[in-house]
Amino acid sequence: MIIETERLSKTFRRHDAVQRVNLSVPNGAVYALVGENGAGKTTTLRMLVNLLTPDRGSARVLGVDSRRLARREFLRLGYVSENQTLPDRLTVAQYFHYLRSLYPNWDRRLETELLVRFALPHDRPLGKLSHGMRMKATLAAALSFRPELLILDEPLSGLDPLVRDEVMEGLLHQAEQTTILISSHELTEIEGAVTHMAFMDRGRVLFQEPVDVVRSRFREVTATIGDESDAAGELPASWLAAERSRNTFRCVETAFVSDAEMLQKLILHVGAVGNVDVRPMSLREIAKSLMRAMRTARPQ
Amino acid sequence: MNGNLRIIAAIVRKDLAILWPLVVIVVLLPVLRSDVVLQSLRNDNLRAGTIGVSLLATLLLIVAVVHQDASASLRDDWLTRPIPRWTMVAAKLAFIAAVVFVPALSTDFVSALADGRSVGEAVTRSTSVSLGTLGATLSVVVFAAVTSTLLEAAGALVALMAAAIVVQAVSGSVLPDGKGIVIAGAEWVSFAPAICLPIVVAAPVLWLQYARRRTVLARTIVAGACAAAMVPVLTPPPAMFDVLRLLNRTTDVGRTIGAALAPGCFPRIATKTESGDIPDDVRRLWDGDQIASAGPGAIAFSTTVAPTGVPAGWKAMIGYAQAVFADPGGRLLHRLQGANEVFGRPEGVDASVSATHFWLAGRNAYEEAERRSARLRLKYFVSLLEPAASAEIRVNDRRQYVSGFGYCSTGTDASLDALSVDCFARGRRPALITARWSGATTAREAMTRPDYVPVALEILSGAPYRLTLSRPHGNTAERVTLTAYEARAHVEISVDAPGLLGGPSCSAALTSTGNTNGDQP
Repeated sequence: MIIETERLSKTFRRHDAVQRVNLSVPNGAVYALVGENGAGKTTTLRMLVNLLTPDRGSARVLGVDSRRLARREFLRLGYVSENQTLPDRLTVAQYFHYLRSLYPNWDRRLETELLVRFALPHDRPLGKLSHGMRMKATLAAALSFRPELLILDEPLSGLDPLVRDEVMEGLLHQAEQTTILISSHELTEIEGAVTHMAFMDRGRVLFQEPVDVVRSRFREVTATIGDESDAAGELPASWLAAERSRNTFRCVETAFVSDAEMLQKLILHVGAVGNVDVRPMSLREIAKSLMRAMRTARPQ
Repeated sequence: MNGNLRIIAAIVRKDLAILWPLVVIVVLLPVLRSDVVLQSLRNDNLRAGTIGVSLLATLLLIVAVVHQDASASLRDDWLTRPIPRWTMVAAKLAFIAAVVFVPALSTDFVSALADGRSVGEAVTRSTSVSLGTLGATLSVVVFAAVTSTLLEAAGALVALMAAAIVVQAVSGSVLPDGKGIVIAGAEWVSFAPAICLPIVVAAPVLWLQYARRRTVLARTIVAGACAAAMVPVLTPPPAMFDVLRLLNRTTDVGRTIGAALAPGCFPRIATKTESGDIPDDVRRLWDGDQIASAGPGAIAFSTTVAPTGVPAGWKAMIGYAQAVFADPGGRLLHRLQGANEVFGRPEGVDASVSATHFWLAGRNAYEEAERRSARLRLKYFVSLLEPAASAEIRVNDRRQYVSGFGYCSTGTDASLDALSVDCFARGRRPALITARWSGATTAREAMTRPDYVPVALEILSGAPYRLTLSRPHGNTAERVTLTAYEARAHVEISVDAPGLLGGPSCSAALTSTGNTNGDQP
């Protein structure tokens, strides 16, 4: 594992921002950390790169305790955050010239390629770049030394769809050589590349799995039910966002096995059903339904 | 190039590219601040403004350069770059040295050469850095390191200054002898913590902040150091003298020294004229608050003391004096207000022959003391100085290095018919230096202000000193003798005066308020 955390925890005053988080990011994975704002994603990532010190638990990044990350590890680790403070008065060219001196492993050709791909203006100060341009500059700066591990904290936040696509294209171009840990609300753009996913809520990781497993067990279910259809007690815990409206029943099944088993469950818990539509879900839809369910379950 | 040096060079280049407008100002300001330019500025306000702007720009630059790569931040780019934390600290210090110190030293060097100094003296002058400058620079670095924005740093510095002003203001009412009272030669006791603490805490604070990123702990230490630096301002003068005594082992001479008061009634001066005005002499000695707090009919008088048992050639310097009315059992009844004029005088009081002090006693305090048959008790804090070195220099000779005194030359001021001895010394300096015409008595000598600062505090610094000797009528001497003195003992001497004003019958004339029968100071 390129990243492994064990009961990683962080408390700010009395607020448990991250609680006993166990993450395992395999080498070569594109690992998405998903969750609502305030779920603890940024705090977790900051602990991984030693911007924050864990209060309890530990994290190993590139085989080293995160608290001991040093120059050797940062030569192999790139970090991009949506609110990173850059030397704003430097021009793009000056910034990259500065960074080149820090990395013996800097790839000048890749830098040029990325600057062209992202159409970054060499002579413009970083402080005068738009948010999208700035993110592209930060990403190019994180990719140009070909890091083994790239940690991205909400890199797509606030970007328009076109820039989002450009950023993701540039990023995924590198995905084969780099392990990527990305926290994001926006899963559509990374859907095709993500190999693993973890879902965080209120400082806890609710699950982490390979994306194939996630995709296989989440289904959006719509069933036609009779007017008099009677529910047989409580609905299964694996059903999220269950709702009845007149003669339609909808839910998200989080433990889907087969269509037949799903039909059986529906009959048992909802009553007589007519047409049943069981539809696979995109990661974005899965994340959205999970967030909505967590919000509903949260005490007001 | 070594990896770390390459990184330091890259960071310094980056900071120069970002901060060059401020860098230009700071690099040029030492030139404007140089003696040559300052002397050409006739307007004092302009001169003070130049120095003020120079200091402010330097302070801003130091804070700005540290904040370019803030450590007390969770978002700064450098924190996730392959930059060892100590390399970043070294880069910032290298920048400050290159932009703040090197131009200042170069300007001093060129300025000294332009002033006709030798290369050796120019090097000595330009490479002299006081611990105060070093402490001030490090304190700004430390403040900047534990903050992440200019606003935060400015807020912290303003809070510190406000606290210092409050402490200074409070010290007047907390200290038993009021404000403005110093022990001549012991001022360093008040300032030493403020100078030394930044140097002492800089390394641990920077280590906590950069290597461990323990911002809260680092800030706590900085706050604690600021508080500790202010405590000595509240230290009463006798305690400052105790510090001197702790640092100087008392020699046998110190145990045999005594003091004798001049016999007879103490000369008195009026605190009010018949028209009710306060005479200028009194105003000069005490401020309005002190006169008001003494109340109507206060008694002002002077005492003269001569030390005894001082070895020939030595000097006894009174750093501080206290006067109280004490009852026959020795209990303190009232503390008398000493005169600012005497205590505030920078050169201290050379009591080798005799020394005079002025006191102000409230009428009620005086009458109560008289009723209770009290006595006047005077306490003197005396430093004994032994001549340690002596040298003769020729009048109007070329500037030369004089061992123990530094680089010295003399100049004649024809209008005043006086001679000034100008010296510059680096490192360990004597506690006191005197100059007199060769062959003249010590009664006609000029002296520097005494300074009993420990050698550790002046090891890197250099200081000029100037002594002005008036030429007595008929004096044709062509040589001046310089003598350096070292403190050998600091002692406290108590003298009881007979009665309250120097003799049992001395109060007879004090029956009416605002008597005018005393001598004027």
